[in-house]
Amino acid sequence: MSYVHHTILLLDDNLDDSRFTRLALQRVGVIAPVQAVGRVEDAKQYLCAEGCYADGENYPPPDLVMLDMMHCSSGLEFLSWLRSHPALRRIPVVVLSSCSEIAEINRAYEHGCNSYLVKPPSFNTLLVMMQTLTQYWLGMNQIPERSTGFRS
Amino acid sequence: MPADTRAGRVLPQSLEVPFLEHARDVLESGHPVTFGFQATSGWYLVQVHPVGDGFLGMMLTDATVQKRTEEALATLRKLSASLHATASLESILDQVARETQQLLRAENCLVALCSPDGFSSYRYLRQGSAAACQRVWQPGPELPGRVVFSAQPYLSIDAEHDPHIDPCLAGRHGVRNVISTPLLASDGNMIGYLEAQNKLDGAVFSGFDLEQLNSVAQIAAQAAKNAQDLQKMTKDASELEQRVAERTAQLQEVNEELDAFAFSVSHGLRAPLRAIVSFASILQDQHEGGGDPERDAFLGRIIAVGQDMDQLIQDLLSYSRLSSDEMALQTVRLDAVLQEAVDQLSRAGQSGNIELHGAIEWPAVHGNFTVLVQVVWNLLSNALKYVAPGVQPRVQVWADLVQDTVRLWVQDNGIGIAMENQERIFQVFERLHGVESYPGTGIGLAIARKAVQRHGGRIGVISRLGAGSRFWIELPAALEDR
Repeated sequence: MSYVHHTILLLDDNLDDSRFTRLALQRVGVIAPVQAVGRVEDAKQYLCAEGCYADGENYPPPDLVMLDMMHCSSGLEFLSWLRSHPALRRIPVVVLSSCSEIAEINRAYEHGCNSYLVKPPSFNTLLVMMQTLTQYWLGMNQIPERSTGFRS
Repeated sequence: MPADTRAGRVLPQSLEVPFLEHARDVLESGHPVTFGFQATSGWYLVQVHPVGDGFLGMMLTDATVQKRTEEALATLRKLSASLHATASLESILDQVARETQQLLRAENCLVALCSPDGFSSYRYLRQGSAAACQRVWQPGPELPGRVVFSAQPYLSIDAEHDPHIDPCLAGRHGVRNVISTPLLASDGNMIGYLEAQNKLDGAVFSGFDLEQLNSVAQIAAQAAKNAQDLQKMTKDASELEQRVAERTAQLQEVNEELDAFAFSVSHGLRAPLRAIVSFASILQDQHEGGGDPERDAFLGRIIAVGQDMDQLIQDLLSYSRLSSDEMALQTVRLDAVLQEAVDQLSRAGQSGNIELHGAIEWPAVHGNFTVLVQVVWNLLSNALKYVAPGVQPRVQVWADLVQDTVRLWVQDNGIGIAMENQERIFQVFERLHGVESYPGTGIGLAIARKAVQRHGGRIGVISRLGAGSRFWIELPAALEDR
C-alpha cells in the first residue's frame, strides 16, 4: 500500500532520528515527501504558510504531525500552540519521543497529542512501527476536515 | 539578762494581759512557762518561773534578731524553691525584685543582669511600681559600677554625701541609704547586680540586712545562671536542629541532581546509540546478499553490541531510580506478580519450565507491584539462564508465610554458585561468567537486592557449585495478614 496524497509534517530536532523516521516512512510506502523541520519556529511557519513555506504546492498542509518532545520539552510548547490555534487545532498529532517516562507521557496527552510512541532502539523495529502507524493514521483513521481559514 | 529589775521600765503595756494569763498557770502548776511576744520595738522571749512564796520571776530576752533570721530563712527557702522552678530570666528578675523589697522592707529595689557588654536587662521596683528594661547600659564609676567592678557588696548609710553614689539618686529619687551586692555565679563570673534603697520604717540598713541581701543574691545568681545555661542549651539544640535540617536539604538537593544526572546521561547516551545501531542496520539491509561477508559480520556486531549497551543503560537507569524514587506500597498478591513476570519472560522469548508450587492461596505482601515484578523477573530470568549447556532449565517457585514475613523461593537446576561468590553476585556489574557464555548486564541481582531492601526486606541465596541455586527474598506480609 502506498500513500500518495498524504503529507506528514515531522518536527524533530535530532537530525539522525529525523532521517531514520523519513527513511522508514519512505520504505513503508509514504510517497509524498515527508516535510521535516528541526525547530518549533519552522513548524509554525510551515503550518501558517509563512516565510519560505508560503508556496502551497511544495509545502502542502499536513494530514498528520509527527512530533518529537525535543530539547527542553519545546515539543510540548508547540503542541499547546497548535491546540490553541483556531485553524490548526484539529490536526492529528502523533508524538514520537525517545522518552518513556510516564510523567512525560501524561504531559504530552494533557497538551493534546493523539498518540504517543517511544522511538525504538533499532531501525528494523522502527520500520515495523512506521508501517503500523501509516496503516492506522493514514489508512484507517478518518482525518478531520480542514478548518476554514487554514492557510488562508 | 535579769529582767525583773528593768521590767517595770521596758515592759510594754500590751505584755500585761499575756503575762497575767501565764502567771496564773505558773502559780498553780509550779512549773516555769516560756512564751513569745511581739511588741512594736521587736520580738521578745518571755520566761516566767516561780521563785516561791507566791512570787514570780520573769526573764525577758530580745529575740528580734532570731525571729528576723527565721523569717528571712523561710523567705529565702521559699524564694530558692520558686526560682529553681523558673526557667525564664524575666520572671526570675520579677521575683527577686519583689521578694527583696519585702524581705528587707525596702522602698525600692533594683535587680539587673549583666553580660560582657554591660547591663542587659533590669527591674526597678519603686514602692510597688515596676520599671522593666531590656537595653544595654554601661555601669559608671558610681554605685552599680563600683560593686560590679570590685565584686564586693557595698553599704551606704548616707547616700547624699556618699561620693560613690550618683548625686541624682539622692537628689531626685530621695534615696537616703543603700545596700547593694553583686550577683556572682558559683564559678565566680559576674552575672548581675542587686540593690535595695531606703528602709520603709525610716531606719538605716544594717549589716544584718546586707547579709540577707547577699543570701538573696546567691540564690538569684544561681537561678539566673541555670536559666542562662538552659537558654544557651536550648539555643544550641535549635541551632543543631537547623544545621541538620540544612544538611538534609543539601543532601536532598544533591540526590535530586544525581537523579537528573542519571536521567540525562541515560537519555543522552541512548540517542546516539540508537543512531549508531540504526545506521548500521540500514547499511546491513542495503548490502544483504551481495556484500562482503566480513563487513556484514562487523555490522552485525555493531548492532548487537549497541543493543547490549542500550539494555545496560536501561538497567542502570532502573537501578538509579530504585534508590531515588518514592515507592508507593500496597497489598500485592504474589501470584499476580509471578504471573506478570512469567508473561514478560515469555514475551521476551526467554522460556523454560517454570513450576509455580503455590499453596491454594499465595500469600500477599506489602509492596510495589511494578518493582516486585522486576525483582521476580530478574530471579526467574537468572534461574532459566544459568544452566549448563544442553540442560533443560527447570525452575520451581514457592512461598511461605512466617509471622509477618513472606519468603519467596526460586529453585533452579542450574550451574550453582560457589560459596565465596555468593555475596559478589548482588553487586552492580559483578559477573561470574563471560558475556559469551551467559549474556546479561550484571545488574539484575543488584536491582533485585536494592528493590527488596527498599521494601524493608532481604535477599539471599543457598547454593553449591554444580548443584543448582535456591534464591530467596523476604518481604513484609500484607498489613491485613499480620
